[in-house]
This record gives sequence, C-alpha cells and structure tokens, in this order.
Amino acid sequence: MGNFFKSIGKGIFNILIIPVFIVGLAISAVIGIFVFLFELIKKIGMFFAGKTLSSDLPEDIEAKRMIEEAKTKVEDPIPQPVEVVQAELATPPSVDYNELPPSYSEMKSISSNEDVDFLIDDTPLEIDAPVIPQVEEKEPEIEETDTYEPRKGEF
Amino acid sequence: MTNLLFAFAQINAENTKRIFYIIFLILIIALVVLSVIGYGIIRLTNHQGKMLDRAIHDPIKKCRIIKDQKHFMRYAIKKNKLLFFHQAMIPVLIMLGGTVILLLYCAIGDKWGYNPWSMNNGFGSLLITWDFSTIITINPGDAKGILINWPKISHVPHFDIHNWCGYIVGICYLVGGLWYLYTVNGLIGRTLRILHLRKTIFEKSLEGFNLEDEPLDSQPK
Repeated sequence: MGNFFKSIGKGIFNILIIPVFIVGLAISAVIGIFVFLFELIKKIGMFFAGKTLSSDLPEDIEAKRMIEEAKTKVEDPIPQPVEVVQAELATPPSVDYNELPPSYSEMKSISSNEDVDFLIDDTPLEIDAPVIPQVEEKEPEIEETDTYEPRKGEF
Repeated sequence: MTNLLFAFAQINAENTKRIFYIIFLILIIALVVLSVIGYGIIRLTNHQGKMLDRAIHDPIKKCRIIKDQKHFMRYAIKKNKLLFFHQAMIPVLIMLGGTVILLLYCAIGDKWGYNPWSMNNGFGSLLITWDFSTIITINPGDAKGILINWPKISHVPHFDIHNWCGYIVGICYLVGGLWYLYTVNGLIGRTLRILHLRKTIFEKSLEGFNLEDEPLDSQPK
C-alpha cells in the first residue's frame, strides 16, 4: 500500500514538474542560442588567429599529457640494477668449465702456472645500489634534575 | 455553463453516473500519460547530465588537476558550453539549410509572402485537422441527455509535389528544432549535474566512518 501511494506521489510530482520544465526549456533554448552564437564567434576568431579549433581546455591537455607519460612509463620500465646485483650476490653463479670457450678451459688446466693467475680478478664488484644510511639509535636522554627525589620505598 | 448545469439537472441519474465515470477514466488516463512523459523527461535529463562525467573525468579523478570548487565550477561550465556548442552544431545547420532553401525559393519565384506552414500549399497540407466544436451535444429534453461524438475531420491530408518547398522546410525545421531542444535538455541536465557535483566531490564527509572499526595501526602512514 505504501509503494502504491509512493508511485502516486511520484506521478503527481512528474505531472507538476512538466509545466516548470517546459518554461525552463524555453528559457534555456533562448540562452542556448546566445551561448551558441558566442562560442561560434569565439571559434571564428580562433580560426583567423591561427589557433587550433579543438574543444580541449588547458586542463584536458594537461590531463592527456599526464596520462601519456604514465602510459610510456608502464610500457618502457627502467631496469632496476639494484635488484639484479643483489640477486647475483645472494646466489653466486656456478661455473661449468666444460661449457666455457676452449681457450679459457685450457688456461684453467694450466692454472697451476703462476703466469695466468693475474687473469683471476679478485677485486670486489662495485655496486651502484644506493647506500642505505645507517640510522644510529639514540639512547634516551635522561633528564638531569638538580634535586634527587627518592621514589616510594627507595632510601 | 448555464446550459451545462441545466442539462445535468434535467438528465436522469443513470446518465450522470456514466458521464462521471467517463470523465474520471479520461482524467486518470491523462494523468498516467502525463506522469509517464514527466518520468521520461526526468530520466532523459539525468542521463544527459551523466554525460558530463565522461567529459570531465580525467582531469578531476585520474590526474587530480582540479584542486578546488571554484576551479571546478569554471572548468565544468566551460566544458558544458563547449559540449552544447558541438551538439547543437548539426541541428542549427539543418535549420539554417531550411532557411536558405526557403529564401532561395522566395527569391527565385518572387513569393516573399509564402508561408511554409500553410494548410493549402505548405507543410500543413500533410496534416489532419479536427473540428472539436461539435464533439459535445447537449439535449436537455432528450432521454440521452448529453452526447459525445468523435471530432469531425475538417482538413484531409494530401500530398502535392508543387508544395515541395514547404515540405522540405517544414521537415528541416521540425527535425532541427526537436534536435535542438534535445541538446538544450542536455544543457539543463549537465548544469544540474554540475550544481550537484560541486557539493559532493569536495565534500569531507564522515558518513559511514566508524573510528572503532579502524584502529590506529591500520592507518596509512
């Protein structure tokens, strides 16, 4: 029953709104003519000034630029050298000398010779990773008071 | 009016009942039809208003370029005008085309007094006209009382190729005019939408927020 009266109320509201709407539509139609003429004159002026006639406002152009930038970032992600180096350090590569070029295998076979020891580079890898600053933990400062007040039960 | 009252006093009770039933039925049907039309207009206006969201979505929601209410109003009103201009371009051109045809027809044939809506040689010749003056017949002395007849057709539609200018101009004005009113409805709908969004998109609301549901640890830092 409540829904029925609700529907009736909506119907009456819709009927009452029709004349208001027609008046509003008539006024807006007249305003619309002026808006149209104003925009037309503006566009003609822009055309003769050599500007583009696109309907994009500066905000739209800025938004388009930002979206394009975001898209290019997603399509061409910058490689992350830090992660690669860290992965290499975590698991050192296991070298299979049989798969290496013959010249290097030969050199390893004569590795007892001191003349080829200079080939083995013992210098550590230089890592380009950003240095994580070590934050020193500060000890809590103890407030120095002039007078010592013993707690309860303390002599 | 006096005649009508006199007639109601004269006719018997059965006829009065019938007449009131018919009037009541017609009234109900008219109200239902008007209500459906009103409902349709409101739905259409809301639908056209939502079109604005698509046009202004990226700078507001995706890129967050619009920072405050004032900037939003300026941007949305400009966008609304531009959308209206683009939508109204075709109907205005159609109506302008009709006007140019009419002016050329008048200039070539030297018929500056030509009415394109005329019932004889214009667009009106395609329309039916009814005579509503004879639909109610009151007979106080008669047993039937009041008679309601169908309206008589006073003008039979006919097509004449010599009225081509009236037909073309009439169609151009009707199509262009209705299309233009549709775009004006869109202008109204978008304006109402702007006024609604102005309040909601910058609203700092605590509706539905419960401090107990979200402990301090779960808050983003």
